[in-house]
Amino acid sequence: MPYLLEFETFLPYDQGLDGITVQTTIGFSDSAVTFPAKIDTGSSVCIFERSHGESLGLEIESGVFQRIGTATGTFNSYGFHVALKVAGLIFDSLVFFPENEHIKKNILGRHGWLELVKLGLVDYEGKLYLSKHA
Amino acid sequence: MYNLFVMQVEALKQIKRQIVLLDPESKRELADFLQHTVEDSSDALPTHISDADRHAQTEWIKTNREKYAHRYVALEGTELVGSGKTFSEAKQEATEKGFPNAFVTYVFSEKDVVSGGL
Repeated sequence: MPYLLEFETFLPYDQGLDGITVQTTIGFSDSAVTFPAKIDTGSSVCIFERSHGESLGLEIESGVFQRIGTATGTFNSYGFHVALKVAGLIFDSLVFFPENEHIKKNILGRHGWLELVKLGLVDYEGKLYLSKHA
Repeated sequence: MYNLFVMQVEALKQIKRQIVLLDPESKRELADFLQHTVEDSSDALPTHISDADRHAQTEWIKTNREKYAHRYVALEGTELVGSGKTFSEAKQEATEKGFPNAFVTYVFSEKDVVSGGL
């Protein structure tokens, strides 16, 4: 029995890059910054480089403190409610910025993004299909 | 600068000549790709939530996180208009109270070590 899904938008991605990487924009006030971020179903949250938060004028240490754990250790981060845009779809999301400026993670995780979308993936062809879910 | 302009005009002509050779599905893919490229170059991220509310909601989470830890909350301004074990529960409660655009987010405890992937 086939299962049919429909999506609002289609996004081809570069299969040559490490991970499934899509252009991502975060915005706060009149500022916005765009950068490549990886989709990571193993991450509970969205994490972006500290410098991206600073470029929005956010005082990083004034955000919601959270320890983040990875396979290689833990680090401190701070959460902010920002606007998040991927493939033309805009969300209101709580995203986190590491305290350490040398952590160069940019990932779209579950809370703040994955749980807000319906996602179809054909990695063999580098195709991503997306709809807003909530 | 003039040379760059001439190069772009030539490149565009060449691309257009190649595009006519594509099949309809490939043309649609290209159209989608170009649309997202143009959209992603824009600075504006219009949403219905004001900066003041974003700030206030971040502060609300800092203040109330332990009370609502491991649940979803729905906030309209700084007013709690819904909560639940799932996103949809919190969203539904907010919608039933007349706030369909409330900001819904999951709340972690300050003591949690949250998975950040690899």
